[in-house]
Amino acid sequence: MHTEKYDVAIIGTGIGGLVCGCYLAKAGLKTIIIEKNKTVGGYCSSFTRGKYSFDACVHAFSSYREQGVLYRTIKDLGINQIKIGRKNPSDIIVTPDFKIKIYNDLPKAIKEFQSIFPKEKKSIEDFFTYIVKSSLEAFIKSRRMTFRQILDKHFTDSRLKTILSLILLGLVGTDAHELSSVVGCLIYKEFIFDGGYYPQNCIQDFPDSLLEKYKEFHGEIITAKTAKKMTVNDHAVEKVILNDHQEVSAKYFVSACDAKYTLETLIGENALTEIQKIKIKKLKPSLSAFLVYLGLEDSFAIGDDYRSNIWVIQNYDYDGAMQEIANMNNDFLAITSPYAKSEMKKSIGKTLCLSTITLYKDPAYWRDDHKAQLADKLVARAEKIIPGLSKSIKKRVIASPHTLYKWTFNYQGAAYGWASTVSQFCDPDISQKTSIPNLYLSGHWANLSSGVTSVINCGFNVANLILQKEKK
Amino acid sequence: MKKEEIVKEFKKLLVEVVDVDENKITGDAHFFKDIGIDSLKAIEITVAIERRFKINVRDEQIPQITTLNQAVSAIEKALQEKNA
Repeated sequence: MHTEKYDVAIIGTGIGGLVCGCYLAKAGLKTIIIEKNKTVGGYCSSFTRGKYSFDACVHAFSSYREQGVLYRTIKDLGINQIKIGRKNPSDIIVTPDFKIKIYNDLPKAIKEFQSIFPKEKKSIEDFFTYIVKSSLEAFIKSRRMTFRQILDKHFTDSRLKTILSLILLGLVGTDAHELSSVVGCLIYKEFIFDGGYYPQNCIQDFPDSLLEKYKEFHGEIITAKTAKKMTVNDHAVEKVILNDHQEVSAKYFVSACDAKYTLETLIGENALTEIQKIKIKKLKPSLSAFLVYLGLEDSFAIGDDYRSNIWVIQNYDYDGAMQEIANMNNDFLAITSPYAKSEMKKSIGKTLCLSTITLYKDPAYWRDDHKAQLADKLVARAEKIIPGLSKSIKKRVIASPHTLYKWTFNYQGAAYGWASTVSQFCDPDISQKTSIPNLYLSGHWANLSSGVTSVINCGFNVANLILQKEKK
Repeated sequence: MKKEEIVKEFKKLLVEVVDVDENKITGDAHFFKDIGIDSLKAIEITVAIERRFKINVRDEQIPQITTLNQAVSAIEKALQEKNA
């Protein structure tokens, strides 16, 4: 029984929870984190099966340039034990007709696009330069526009527009026809043109190194226990009750897990305002994902290209592709592979991950035979560009949207928190502050963008909100 | 909407979005330099102003909104345009 009172109790060790915990513990606050799994990281974690190690969801980082959010955090917290390399090209787009490599060097990346779409030469230069060189304030001018409208403003070639939209679908799980242009531009700025960073061993290096630092700052952690309830008294959260009835009391609480679970289950509807009750039911989550993790034969030669994120785009009809997702017949595919050099060691197996964006559906839909069928389909598609793949598979692990839900409690297995639509963008109800003054939200349900960079930022901001309050 | 009401509502909004100490929000305190608002927060504040006051702030005015006084005059102007 944790009878002592903490300054801050955090639920969830996704990056939004860990970063928040690190900054708070570093500032000397007595902090405890509660995690329902045995390992930390949430979507940013790795798992092993035999000699194979797979990255569960996050496959690369962005924003490690000198002014970048990831760089700042690693320096601020004094994390020395993590070594970060970079994939170059970070991303490769493969269609039936061509291949575009997105190099770390912007002019080179622009030239690649221009060589495929010569008629759009000037628009490509203008668009990518606008995205990379503009300050964030510049994007605000297009706050009422969708990302698709921004693309329509710049380009006429529908193939180019489809490609740029589908990559974003993979990176934010939101249809470009609804996606906030500000978020779309930010994602391209951070994830595509400053992306492709990868830790030395596997993605798990990052949450593990955060945890190590957190402990060095005297932060405490409880793992393998689930937060079941928060008691609210006189408009303040008093304690979190865990599945084994253990109680954790604190002055402040940060929920870095699903916002809907936090408000409807942990807090309970009685503590919510009428507006919140209606709002939380109306908010739309991002789409989920289906992932197939493949362990390959040692002798299988993964070409150098497969160290990059590969976006396989089968046809250029964007609306058709979206319709296929609605029909659960998606032919859009992403292929990722760990970048690490250690992969070359014989003791560690070669792996690839195939993933696609999909709807949640109910658990009954994801029967084993159904999952196997979809996995077969993705492997067959991947094989078109990686000959001999299917014969080299020694191990296959599948994650459906329901697996993602079970792992993280993310509502409807959402891959990226709330959908980053124009109407939900900067919604004050999707924010780090809640109507309960000592309760904050961190992670991808409390931010205006998505991905690791944005949850790092969110964790940092929430820590600062609490530290400011403590100063008063 | 009277100017005092706009000031009050805007301060409330700023406290909500950035959790700043209300006493720090004086008429000429610079959002970036004095109150510690960053670019991402500035985007949130702009959108929150438009939602709260049900107005459209003109794009060319956005870079000029760096203090309480400037924000209030931009809101007043947009409200006038809306009601014209």
